[in-house]
Amino acid sequence: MLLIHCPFCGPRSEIEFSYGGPAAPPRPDDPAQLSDADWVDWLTVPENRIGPVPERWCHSKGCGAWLTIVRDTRTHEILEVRHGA
Amino acid sequence: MAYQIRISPPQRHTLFDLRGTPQALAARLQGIVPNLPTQPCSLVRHGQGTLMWLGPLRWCLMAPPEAEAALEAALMQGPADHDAAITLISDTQAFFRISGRDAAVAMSIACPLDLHPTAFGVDHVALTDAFGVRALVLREGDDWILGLEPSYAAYVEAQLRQIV
Ligand SMILES: [Zn+2]
Repeated sequence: MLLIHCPFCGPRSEIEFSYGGPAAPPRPDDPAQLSDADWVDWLTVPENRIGPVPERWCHSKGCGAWLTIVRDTRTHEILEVRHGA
Repeated sequence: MAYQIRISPPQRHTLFDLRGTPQALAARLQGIVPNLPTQPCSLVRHGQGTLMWLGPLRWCLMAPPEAEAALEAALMQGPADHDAAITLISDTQAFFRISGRDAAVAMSIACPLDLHPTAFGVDHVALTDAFGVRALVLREGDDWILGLEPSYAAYVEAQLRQIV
């Protein structure tokens, strides 16, 4: 069970949150300049890194805010929480 | 060992959902509530109204049922305002009052909040989960107020009565 420190509500149980997928890296400025493979990679293939990964979580049963969380996939330690993207 | 817990029948309160900027909402609430709460998950009381701060841009005004018409007239006057959206939502929530010596035991089984007085004192309020349902929890003196969507009221009441 994760304990997520919502910037508004304080420490809350994972039960109150909905996972929103990995936080994508910034959108390429000009997708037309990318190869098809690179574009599909950015659009549909999330990184599956071992270690700290940025993720989107919504405090859906709490204040309703979308958060970006940096979670270490080895330990579940939450290293950073911030509002928005 | 039996717990000493009392559970009221589900009750309806006057309830307004308020979304927008603090400045715009404060202007709309002039004469009804003098100040917005200053701490997240806290409330201010004024007259018959209780104004709760539930999210970064989200507040809720609760009052007795008989205050609904007057509050609606006062809050809904003037043109719609993007920076201060106010919606009457009384019919969307049913409220239980949970009281008695062991009320906190029932609440700690119902929801995942840390309800120790140092973490959740009197007049603390939060949106959370109760038996899998989105719920509003408010500590009022030694009592607890539990609000949730009315269609879940019978289910949640049955879960609470299992504890008693
Ligand atoms: Zn929150």
